[in-house]
Amino acid sequence: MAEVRGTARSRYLKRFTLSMIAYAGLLIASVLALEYIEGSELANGPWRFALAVAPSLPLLATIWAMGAYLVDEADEFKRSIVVQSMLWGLGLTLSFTSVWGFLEEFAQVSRFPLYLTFPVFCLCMGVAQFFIWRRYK
Amino acid sequence: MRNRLKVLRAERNWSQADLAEQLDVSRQSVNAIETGKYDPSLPLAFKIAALFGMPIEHIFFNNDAAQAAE
Repeated sequence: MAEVRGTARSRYLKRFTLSMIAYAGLLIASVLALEYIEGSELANGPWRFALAVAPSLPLLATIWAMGAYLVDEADEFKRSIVVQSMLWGLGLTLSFTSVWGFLEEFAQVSRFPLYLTFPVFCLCMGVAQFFIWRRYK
Repeated sequence: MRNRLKVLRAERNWSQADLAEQLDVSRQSVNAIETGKYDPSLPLAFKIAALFGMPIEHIFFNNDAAQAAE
């Protein structure tokens, strides 16, 4: 049964790796394609929207993979650590974006790119997971 | 929540890894439960009780009850 536990994590890592490869590929392809169509009549049509949104699709797959891991993980203790990390990540990300939002509005700080919200969440979650694991050692 | 898992395991000469394997959980789970840092779910507590062949309340105690008994 140890294989089953290993599988949840390995399945997650496989999905994560594949979606990151797809993300990198689509990001490069989209940027190149957007440069290519710039100035043409395609630049203002639906193609522009399709190309702009394309790199985000693998990120949606990554978010799905994180949820799927929670469903797959048979070990309730490990699952609880990941859930706690996610909650900390969510709380920290919401705090950061709320504070930054007001700074943008009233203190003219530079605009925070929304597409960085998910990486910020992953970073916060990763840091939280490190400290949560330490608590149980 | 306190528990007698470590004693029960020692009586049977089982390592944390042995117990983890029989319960189908990770060794880290057994360690966290033993040290009282993680309270198992009811299904896992029943599984532990069944493995040791005793009622749950002979393995797990809430902190107040344990202090009252001391």
